[in-house]
Amino acid sequence: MLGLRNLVIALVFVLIAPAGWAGNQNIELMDDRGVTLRLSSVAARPAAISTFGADVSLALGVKPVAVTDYGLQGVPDYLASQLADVQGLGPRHQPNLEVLSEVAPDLVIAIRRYTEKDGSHIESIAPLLALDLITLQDSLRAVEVTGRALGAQEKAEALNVEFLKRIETLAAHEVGRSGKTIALLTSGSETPFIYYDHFLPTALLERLGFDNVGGEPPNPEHGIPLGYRISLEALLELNPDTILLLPTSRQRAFTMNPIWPYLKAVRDERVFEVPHYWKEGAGPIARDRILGDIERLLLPHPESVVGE
Amino acid sequence: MTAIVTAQKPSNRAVIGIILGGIGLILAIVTGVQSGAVDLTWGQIWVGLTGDSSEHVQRVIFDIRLPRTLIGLLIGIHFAVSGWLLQLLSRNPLAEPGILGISAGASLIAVIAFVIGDWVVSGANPYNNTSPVLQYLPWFAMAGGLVAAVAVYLLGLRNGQLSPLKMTLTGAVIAGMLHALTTGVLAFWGHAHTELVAQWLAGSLYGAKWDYLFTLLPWTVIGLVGVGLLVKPLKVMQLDDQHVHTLGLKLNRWRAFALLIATLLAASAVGVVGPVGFIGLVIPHISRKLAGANLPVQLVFCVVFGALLTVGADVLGRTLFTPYEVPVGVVSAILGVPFFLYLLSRQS
Amino acid sequence: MMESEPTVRPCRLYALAILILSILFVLGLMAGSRWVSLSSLWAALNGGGDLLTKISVVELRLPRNMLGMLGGAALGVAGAVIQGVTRNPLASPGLTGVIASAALAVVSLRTLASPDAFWLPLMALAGGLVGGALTFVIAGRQQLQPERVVLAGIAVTSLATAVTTGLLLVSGAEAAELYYWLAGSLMGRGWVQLELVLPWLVLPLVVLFFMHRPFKLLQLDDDLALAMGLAVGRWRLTFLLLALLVAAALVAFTGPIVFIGLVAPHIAKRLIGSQIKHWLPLSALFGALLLLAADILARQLAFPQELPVGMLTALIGAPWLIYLLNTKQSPRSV
Repeated sequence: MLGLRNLVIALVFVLIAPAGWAGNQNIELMDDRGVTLRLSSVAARPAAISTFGADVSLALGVKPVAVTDYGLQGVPDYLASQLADVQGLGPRHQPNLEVLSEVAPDLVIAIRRYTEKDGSHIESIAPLLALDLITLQDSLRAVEVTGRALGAQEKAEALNVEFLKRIETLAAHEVGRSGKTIALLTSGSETPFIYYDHFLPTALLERLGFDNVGGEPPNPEHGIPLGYRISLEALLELNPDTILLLPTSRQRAFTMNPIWPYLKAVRDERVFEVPHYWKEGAGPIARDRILGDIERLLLPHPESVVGE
Repeated sequence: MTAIVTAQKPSNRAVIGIILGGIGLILAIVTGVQSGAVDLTWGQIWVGLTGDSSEHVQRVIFDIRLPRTLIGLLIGIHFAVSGWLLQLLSRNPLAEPGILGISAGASLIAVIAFVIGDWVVSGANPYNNTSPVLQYLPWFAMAGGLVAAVAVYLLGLRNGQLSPLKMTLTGAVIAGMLHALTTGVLAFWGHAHTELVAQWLAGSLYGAKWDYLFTLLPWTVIGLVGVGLLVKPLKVMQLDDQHVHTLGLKLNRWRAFALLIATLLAASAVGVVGPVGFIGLVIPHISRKLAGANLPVQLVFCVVFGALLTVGADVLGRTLFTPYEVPVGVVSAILGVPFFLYLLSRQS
Repeated sequence: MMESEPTVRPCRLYALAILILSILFVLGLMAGSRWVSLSSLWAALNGGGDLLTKISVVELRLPRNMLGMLGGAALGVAGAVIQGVTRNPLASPGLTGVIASAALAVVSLRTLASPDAFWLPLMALAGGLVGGALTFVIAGRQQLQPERVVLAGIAVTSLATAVTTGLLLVSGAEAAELYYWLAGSLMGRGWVQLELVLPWLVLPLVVLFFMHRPFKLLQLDDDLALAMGLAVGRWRLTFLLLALLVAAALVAFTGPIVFIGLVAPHIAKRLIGSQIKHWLPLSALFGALLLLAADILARQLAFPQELPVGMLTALIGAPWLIYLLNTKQSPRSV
């Protein structure tokens, strides 16, 4: 039984291998676990166990064969129209392995912290590119490595360069910004969760000259935790000029607290809701949109900045 | 009295029950291999089983469904037999493995492992493929369950004697504390991992692999051999203490042994799939109803129906809402409750 | 039941408890993200001082302290009532599955709909009632056997927990939020929550205090109570319902907080022995004291973050109960 199977595999290998050599050399990649992946050819059928995977594939012109979603919240809505006919895999912490096997991907682009436990299953289906997707560096590295895997290295590098340039352009135009200190909050409960400096959107804000009151993470090299629960009292003391709120499925109980109106940002009407993709914004499309949101919401004269 | 101690012949009803249960179990296993998120025809499966088919079919059958179904079978046996022992031991039909704090201890360790996993794995060591803490989760969780059970056992002794009542109360208090700690740790430190931990805490067979089966199997063997040795002493233990002493049984030693076997069975199963609560409560109940006072027959019923409920619940859980899964712990609880209530209503 | 022991004079107990409670209350006003000195506290309460201190104290710490005290008192009384009328020293809201079922009800409402906060206590109450009823049904006619009720309670709790976890899985990215709630905390609770929960706590508590005669009779033999003209079944049900009401309503706003309902009545009973009429008030005082103390600790231990208070009440409560289990000789007492 095994002999026959091996024979078939060997046969397939002999048939396919020359095609791989003819087209592309073996691609060697290192993912964020420190695992070296060897692809025999450029990946053409990526599956995404992360919003990032779907985002980066689409940005590089490759349609993913399957994507995960957010449970009751469905697929990431900013990509929904492009993913309408793509096979769903279930939630990212529990991608359906049978479905994943059926769609026969040649690469799985995954968020690392949700795939560590069952990584060996995924690896038996296709090479697993497990990525930390938390900081700006993570995003740049992830786009670059995925670009190589998808055979679009130049395009990926160009996306990174463009993105960094756009940050610089926006940062250079210090146009007397009102509201320098800022807080990025999430949660529908009585107590908000505030993000640290290293989280991609807050890192972008810092780069653009804002000051995130969430502060430095205790162990920056670990990435996690992303932030902490902040008491309203402490928030009142930090009293940021601007507050950004991530979307929640419920009415935010902490905004009902009598203390909320005393916050400077609330009094100055500088509380903005930002879209859902801020939560996992490492992909090229999402991070560009985040910059766009910052520009639109927080920079005083967006036209003059974009025009130059 | 001698009538109780000597072996009884299983009644016709029991024989029919076991045969039906066995057929059901075989059907459940076949269904477990045949059905899932992806449709496979019988032809494909036959070809797949004989080893000559596409990689996809091979993978779905051998890497995903078969280990999952077999592990489900084993953990069903583990929980059911463990619960049966505990109910006999405490002479209380409501006892289950949870009362020893096993599930709670294992859960706390698992949550801590998830949280600490981030600190242990570091970019400094590129050969460290994935967090070792998560890879060995079953072993850690098993250890946590055992430690909790030993603590309950030691604190539950009354003047060096094993007291089922005190042990139950101690177990309830310790399990309550560990449960609160688990939730607290998860709330405070688990933010980025919560969904992953919740999957484990719900008692899920998702991602079950052959490794887990081979981890579990020795404990199944030890457990079943142990139970086999226990059948006769258990019969005697059911009598009141005075009679037991006149029969010359070393009561305390046998009780401790039964408790040890029950703990090993439950802790090893919790380690692999997470806390699955209801099987250990409901199945022994059903078995007693069907088998009457005949202990060996009860035991066979526990084995067959424990496996049947778990495998069946898992098949339902992974086919109802594909590509989503309902954890086996949730399905078995939902299936078990009405049945349990029905049994209770007939009892009174 | 607990045996009577050499007891302390109740009036001294009251005085001591109230004294400690007041000290804790002041401490609770002083402790937070910034330590407020006594003098600036005084100024803030009189409408002076700097704005930040004033808002923190009046809008956050004051209502939070009050909720902590009231909630602790409610849990203490609920525990004492359930223990008393079922004559079962272990029948607290936590161990009878009430808290877990109430939490399940709230989690399902919050996962499947986005409700107004007004509905939460009603939903928690419904869940708590179903859970509590299930426990006592499962325990069957031998409800006066503590271990039977506890085992039934564990079964109900494990069922409720399993379904809750299942819901958390469906909720996807909201899971972290719900776990945070499930840990039990007073963080961020203020006047809004206090106002919503107040009627649910105060009315039943007042009613319970006025019914101390039937409460006392219920602790006697059923026949004796019957002979003294008490409709035992009806009264027992009334008491249980009121106790469930306060416990479930509190869960709706703070999340599950365990062990206070078990520990506070035990401490009270240990100190007053057979003077039953002091049991409920003292349980309330000790419950308030315990929860307030645990909450202050929760604010300070992991500063500048806060620990979930449910974790601390468990860490304080469980060892104490284990100790208790190991010091008594009679198998029926705890």
